[in-house]
Amino acid sequence: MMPNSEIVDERILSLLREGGSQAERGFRLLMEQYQERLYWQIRRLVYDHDDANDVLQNCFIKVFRSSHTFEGKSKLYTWLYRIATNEAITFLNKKKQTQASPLDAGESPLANRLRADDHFDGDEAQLKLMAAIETLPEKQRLVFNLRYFDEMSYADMSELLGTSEGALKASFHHAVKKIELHVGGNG
Amino acid sequence: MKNSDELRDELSDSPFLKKMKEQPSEGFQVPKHYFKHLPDEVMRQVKQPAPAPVPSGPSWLEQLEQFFMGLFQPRFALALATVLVLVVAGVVFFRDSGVEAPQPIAAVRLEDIPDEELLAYLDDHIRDFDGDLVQEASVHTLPEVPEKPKAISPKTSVPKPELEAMEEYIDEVIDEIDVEDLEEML
Repeated sequence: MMPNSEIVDERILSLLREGGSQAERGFRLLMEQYQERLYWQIRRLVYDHDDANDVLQNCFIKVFRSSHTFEGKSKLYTWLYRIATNEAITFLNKKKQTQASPLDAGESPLANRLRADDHFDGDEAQLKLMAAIETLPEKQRLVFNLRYFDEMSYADMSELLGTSEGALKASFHHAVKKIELHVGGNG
Repeated sequence: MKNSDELRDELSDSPFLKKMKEQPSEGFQVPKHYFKHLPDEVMRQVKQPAPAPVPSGPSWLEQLEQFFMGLFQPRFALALATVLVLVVAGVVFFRDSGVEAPQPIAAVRLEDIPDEELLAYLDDHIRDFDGDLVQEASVHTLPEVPEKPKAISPKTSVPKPELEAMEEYIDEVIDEIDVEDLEEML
């Protein structure tokens, strides 16, 4: 029996292929189905709600304009996740180029940003965790987020990131050690 | 084994991450009804016409105009005026400094050549020069050379055509004279 998510995916793709008002219905269904998962995936990369909102909207606009190019060779979420991740990484790179590096190397600039953020109410331990995750290399950070927060299986992650399951397990293991070291080192 | 159980095993060496995993929230919040309104907001943007393509840049004529207009900007105009003043000052200074312009090398050397050599050269290459030029040069520059007196022979003093005409004239005159007139004259 086909899982529920796959049935919904089939329905979405069928509506998108019909074009016109049916395509619009299909696209609304796609957003309702995946907006939260994609939002949190993006939010954990960019941290700020307004940034995550911009990236997610750009992502959906791209999906709508290129939905005819989706061939169905991978899962719909895999395709959406790749577009969202690329958008988030492009956004972060642009932001890095325009932002000056902080003069104060004491506390993490991310911790300061999150403290001032109206849409973050985490405690000091959560601030430490976010600051530690931010120190990870880009790919390792993606692997850690998918495994730790989304509890995604290595098989699904392998399809999503195009990396072997063994390499993903090793990457997650190293990320966990680095975070523990970072948190321990910073008190 | 479920993913969450596997994950718990993987975090067994990390007490911090294990403890954080048990917390209900990551600390991030979203505005109220955010996910309810997001599809409408995206659809509103999708239905907007795509932004018009940005022109690639000004045409070459506009670029040229901008270049010249730029020259009249205060900083460029000041720089150009400074350069102009320096150039004029330099020209005036070197002109009045008393340094004579060097004479043409060819003229100096021509003066050093003796007249005899010049004449010999001209004799040898007379056909290489334009006739008018030679005549003009001989009038203005070359010294007058006295002609050598030549012996004039009676035969060569009168041109041959004139001699023949004179003989014909004398023969005609003789023919016209009567014998009687000759006898009277004698």
